[in-house]
Amino acid sequence: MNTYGFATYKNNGYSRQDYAADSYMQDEYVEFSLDVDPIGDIVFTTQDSVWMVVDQYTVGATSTVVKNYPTFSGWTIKAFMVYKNNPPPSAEPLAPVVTVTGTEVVIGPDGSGISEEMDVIIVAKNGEANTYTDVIDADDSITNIETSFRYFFTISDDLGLTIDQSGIMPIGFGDPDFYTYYDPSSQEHTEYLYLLRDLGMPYIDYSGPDFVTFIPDYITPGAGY
Amino acid sequence: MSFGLSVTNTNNEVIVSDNTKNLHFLGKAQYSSHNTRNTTIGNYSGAFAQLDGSFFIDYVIEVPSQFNINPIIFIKPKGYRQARCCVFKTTKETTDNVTRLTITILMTAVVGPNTVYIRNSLFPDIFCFDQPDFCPILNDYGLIHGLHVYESDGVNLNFDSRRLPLAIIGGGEHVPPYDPTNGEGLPGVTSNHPWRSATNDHDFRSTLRKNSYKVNVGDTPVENLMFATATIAQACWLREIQGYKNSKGSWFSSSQQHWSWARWWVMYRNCCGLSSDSDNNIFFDSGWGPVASGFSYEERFESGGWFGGGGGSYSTGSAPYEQKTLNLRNTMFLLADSTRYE
Repeated sequence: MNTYGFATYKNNGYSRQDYAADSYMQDEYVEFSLDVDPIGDIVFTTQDSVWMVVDQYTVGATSTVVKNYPTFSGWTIKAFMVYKNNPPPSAEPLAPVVTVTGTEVVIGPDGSGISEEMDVIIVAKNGEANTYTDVIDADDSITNIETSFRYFFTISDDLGLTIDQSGIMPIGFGDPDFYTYYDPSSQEHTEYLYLLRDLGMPYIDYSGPDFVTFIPDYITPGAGY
Repeated sequence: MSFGLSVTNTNNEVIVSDNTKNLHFLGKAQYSSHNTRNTTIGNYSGAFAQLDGSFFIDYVIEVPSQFNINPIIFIKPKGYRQARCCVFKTTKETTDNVTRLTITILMTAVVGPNTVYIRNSLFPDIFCFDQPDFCPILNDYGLIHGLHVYESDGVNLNFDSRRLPLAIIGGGEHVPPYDPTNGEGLPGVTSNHPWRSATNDHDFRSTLRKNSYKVNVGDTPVENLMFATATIAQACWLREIQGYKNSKGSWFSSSQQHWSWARWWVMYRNCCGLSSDSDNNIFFDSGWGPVASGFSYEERFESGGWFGGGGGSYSTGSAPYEQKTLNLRNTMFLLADSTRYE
């Protein structure tokens, strides 16, 4: 039995093979933030907002395109359009009309039947389209990450660890100043403990500072944790 | 959710997931060429000869041909108080296994004579974002830190921090004003002017014509912002002055009627920009920029009879478009911090 801060699981996601016993281990998930930082510059954080790319295609001058995106049920779906090749002044184009009903997107000619060829990019945002207020707020960094690292989440070897889709997965989150650190000589570990929880939907237990930096290379694969 | 990954942000919105695909940084399109048009409206323009000027600037981004890119294009204005821009069109061609996307930006001045404020050095930077499989790894610092998320097939990439996923920090919807002209009211047609009246009396510039939307982008300075939007609205408006004269050379000659039509027209596209006030409030401005413009003149006159001179006509130029504002719909815009992708 290891006594330090990482847990590993069998690939079925239900059987915890090993875990760290620690007073910070909690029964319920604890919110934390994700801060992906390649070399000191912020790339992406859980304070960010995003629009996902859903689809990309070209709508002909008088054609109608109907598509459905059930994955994005409950999301806000919008269409970006760019005039393709022959915008004014060579013509007086009516832009196609975009109608979004639930997850169905219909792009077709204006009522006159005349339209213009357009490049279309369908994007989607989880939540309301215009709720950007306070997205960037330095005091609002605690958030929630819901994780279930089984088959469908892959972290490459580049990161210094391997999630073997058929094997055992070590993972950890920590702040540079608060590594989950085990000193073999003293057999001590830090009080900041990050645990994957069990039952196929493990949560990461974090009780450190608000911002944590994902430093998977700190963890040595197969190091006997 | 039973398996997979779902990361939510502070608003509890999914921002990384194994079944949704983030936009990533495809690259900056490189300046290729530009030309300038519409600095004046045309002949006989009198005190209202000036237009805002339009700069059609071509940028190019190239990718391997197997990547069927169709990016979301962000514009980062450099002289943000002086210019409005739009993605005027895109043109894609593939040769020798390379797809070359040409992005034409329409840029127009909003302050003073365009020749002073619009210079090459103020042409905007163009940032392109597309799905991650098309995007290069830009921050490969020994591949030490980062996060990759794949679809459940383990092949299709959904998120890769090394490819700089797009983070949105603000946005909303915009629509430009119906009337694109600075002149009071829309230009129109008036009659009973003296024959051959051909002096424009309507200000077709658009510097004052905008709808402004206050945006909340936290501490990000306006100089760092870039925006993406679909600028589909366009307009074409015309000023027509109709002249008339009825003359009679002598009591021997018959009445001779003269007609003239002088027309000035400008076609516009929705152009957008960013501005700020003295309190550091930041605004997204939705206005107009000239795409094309012209002048036409036509006159006709009757014969005055045996002693009154012959009839005739003369015309020059053309006014090819009907007056209208098209595609005036609420359109989304997105704001991002360009410094993450510099």
